[in-house]
Amino acid sequence: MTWIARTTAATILFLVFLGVQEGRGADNAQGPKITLIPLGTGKGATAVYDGEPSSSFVIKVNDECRLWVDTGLGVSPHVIKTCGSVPKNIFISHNHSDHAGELPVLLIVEQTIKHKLRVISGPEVNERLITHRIAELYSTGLKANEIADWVPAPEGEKVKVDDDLSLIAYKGQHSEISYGFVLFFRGAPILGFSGDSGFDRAFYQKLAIAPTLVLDARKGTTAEHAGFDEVHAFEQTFKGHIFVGHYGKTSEAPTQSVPLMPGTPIEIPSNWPDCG
Amino acid sequence: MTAGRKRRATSFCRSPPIKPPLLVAVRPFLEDGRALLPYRLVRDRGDRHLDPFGLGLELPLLPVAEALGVVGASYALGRGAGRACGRIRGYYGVRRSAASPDPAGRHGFYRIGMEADTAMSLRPVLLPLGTGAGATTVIYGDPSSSFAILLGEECRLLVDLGYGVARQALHFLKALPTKVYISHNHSDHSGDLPVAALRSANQGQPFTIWSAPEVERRLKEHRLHEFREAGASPEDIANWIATPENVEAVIDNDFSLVPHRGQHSETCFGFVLRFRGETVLGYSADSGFYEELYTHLLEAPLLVLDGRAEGSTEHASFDELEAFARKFPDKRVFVTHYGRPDEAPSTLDHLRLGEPIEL
Repeated sequence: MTWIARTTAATILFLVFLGVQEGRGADNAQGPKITLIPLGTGKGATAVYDGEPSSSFVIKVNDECRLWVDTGLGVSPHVIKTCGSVPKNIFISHNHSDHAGELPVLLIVEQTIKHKLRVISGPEVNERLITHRIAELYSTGLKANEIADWVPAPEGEKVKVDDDLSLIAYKGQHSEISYGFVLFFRGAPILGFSGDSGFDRAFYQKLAIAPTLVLDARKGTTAEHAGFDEVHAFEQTFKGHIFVGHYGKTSEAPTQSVPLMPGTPIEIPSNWPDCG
Repeated sequence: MTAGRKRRATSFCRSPPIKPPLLVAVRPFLEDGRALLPYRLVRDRGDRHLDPFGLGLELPLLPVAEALGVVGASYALGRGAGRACGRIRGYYGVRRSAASPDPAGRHGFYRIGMEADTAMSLRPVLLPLGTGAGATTVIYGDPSSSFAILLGEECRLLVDLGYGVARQALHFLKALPTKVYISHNHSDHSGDLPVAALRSANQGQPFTIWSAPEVERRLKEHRLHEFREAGASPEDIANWIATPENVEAVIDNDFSLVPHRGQHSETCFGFVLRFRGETVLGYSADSGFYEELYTHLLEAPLLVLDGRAEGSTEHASFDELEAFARKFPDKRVFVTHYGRPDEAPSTLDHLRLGEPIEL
């Protein structure tokens, strides 16, 4: 009986080993799949007045949510639905309610369950979030660094997100100091994100080292937010893919460019479309 | 009477629309107080909304109603703990209403109008706009704790404007109120404030915000900091009225309130609300079980208290509030801030989204 049991156990272990090897082989063959999942496209007052979530997205590597970008009003239930839990790494472009409105509650809820979040943002944004956005949490007796890990991202300096992802923040053109970024996967630029910004060619060029761009734009052009026409014109000079976000309700999406649509994933290539 | 039965009761579309649809019963009465008819149900017909407060209710009045001496109508609306009822005097006769044809195609409806001074006989109504706890909106999407104080069709005061509340105000009141009381600077009580105040100011209808001086300072310094760089100071966006503790603050010709401090980590103030000098409501805002506060609130016949299943120093527990309510059987005690609707207390009266309570 002992012999039979040992043989059976060895066979099971061998089969499990084969299965694991096969799984690894499949993963290696496909390479990591990087996906951007839009959570919302709302502008300043969209969530408050129309109930659609503010602009936000998550970056997934394979099935894991690795980076959450902006936590404005109405976004959190969608990230929980998409990721199953709150991702540890969060980038906040600036301290407006449609980009950081739900941050205080998220931080304290996650801190309470021993899941301390890591907040990456431009240095001035970092300071404003700590001083003003989460001021309401200090009456708990907790200090800022007990509530979250705060990671300032000085303009032009590469900051590590995790073992695979890193980013370089760049300042956009906005009334409130706002940063976009270029996101890198294992050293290669994969995504440029404008944060909130009016049309600024020099700023766009910094982001355009990545083959996929997500740009803030809306129907009307202002100094605060680019216009659909401006982005469309820039698109003619760019070889990669451009997606428009922050345009408002989904019914306000642009027709001349490709809009982000909440819940519709976008696979992000690590290569430029014209160089294989 | 036959004609009256054929002309079924209908409703008259006037704001504020109350959702979800409520059962409203009306009964015209005579000068001596006798009812003319049994209660008749008036139902929301989907595309139209009820005016449950009596202004402009259409009744299936007989053409002879005026001759019979109808002087007003009793009404009852809602169900359960949220039920409100009362009497409104001052209907003036009947007149044929060409503007509201019978939905079934028949004609001959008669609208009972109301004299302007009838508003004097109205009672204030508390309309709950949310019951969410601190993280309810962020995790589940249900609105934070808030209510509106209505007199007739008019919202006289919005109490707290946390995450998700502006949408509810727009839904139930069709417009965002501009008179707002903020109990404290937590996101579930003032999270929607910056965006709503800015937009309202840009539309030429700046908010008037009542709050205790400490709360006002925090709102200005932290909550509204996000617009400073764009050049909009808190004073540009809204009118601020600091309401010190224990001092009566006038809201308008009919309402005033007296703030009282609760037991909460963030400085927070509840209040007693007075209507034409009569105390009608005691509201705890966020507070642990705190007798000093409750003693002030007991000045009112109806109390709305913060409570949840598991109590803490920050929020009273259902058990504590149940014991308190038993101690004061002559008071009506409603629990709020308990979280999602399914987290409501089973043995205590509680606020329910959209179900009005007459004060």
